[in-house]
Amino acid sequence: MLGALAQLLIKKGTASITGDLTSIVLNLPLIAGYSIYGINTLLMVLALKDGEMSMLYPIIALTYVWTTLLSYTVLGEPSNMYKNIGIVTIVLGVAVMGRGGRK
Amino acid sequence: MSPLVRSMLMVFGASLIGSFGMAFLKMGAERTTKSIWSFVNTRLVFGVVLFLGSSVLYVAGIKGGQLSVLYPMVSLGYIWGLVWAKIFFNEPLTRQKFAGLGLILVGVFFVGLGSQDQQPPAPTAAVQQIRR
Repeated sequence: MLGALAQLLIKKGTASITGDLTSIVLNLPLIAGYSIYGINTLLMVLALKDGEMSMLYPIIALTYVWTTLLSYTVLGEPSNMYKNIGIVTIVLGVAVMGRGGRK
Repeated sequence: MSPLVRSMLMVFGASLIGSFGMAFLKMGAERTTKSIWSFVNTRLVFGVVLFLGSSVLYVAGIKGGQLSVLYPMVSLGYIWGLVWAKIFFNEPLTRQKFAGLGLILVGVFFVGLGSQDQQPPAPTAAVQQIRR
């Protein structure tokens, strides 16, 4: 249960990182980016308190997935086969990782 | 030193520093209680500082090279992280963790490959702010 909560938190956290990245790309006010980054760090800490670092750290790679999806939707970049293969593989990896955690 | 080698060294350094940052964050996180002030502890703050340093080095490094090479190098940090988790926190390293990490590394490589033909993002106000 706590592990699931930690994973949920970390997923929210990685989404926040991409929010931060796009805010840099879109040149939105810095303060918004930094506060999102702050929230992200806080969520990460909460997840780390009860979660395993060996599992949570690689899950940050989901950032690449969010960034790619956001660049497709928000920035309107054309779909890219390599990137699609990449994000599917990352999601698979995170799923396998999640199964390996302490129950 | 060629620009690519220089970039690779910077990104390599960033991944190493970042993984230590994560270890300190974990140490600090274990010391937090319900009190908000418990979040301001030495280890946690040091972890955040390491993360900031790592991201500055990363942004500087990623500017000067092929993303297909540099992106997967960032993920090296996840491998360091696995090693620190074993050494410092005695976390079990299961087969699933290695398999999952392997898939993630392959995935990040492909995302880097896909980012290849795009110019790295021009330095924005945010990056310039950091450099100052």
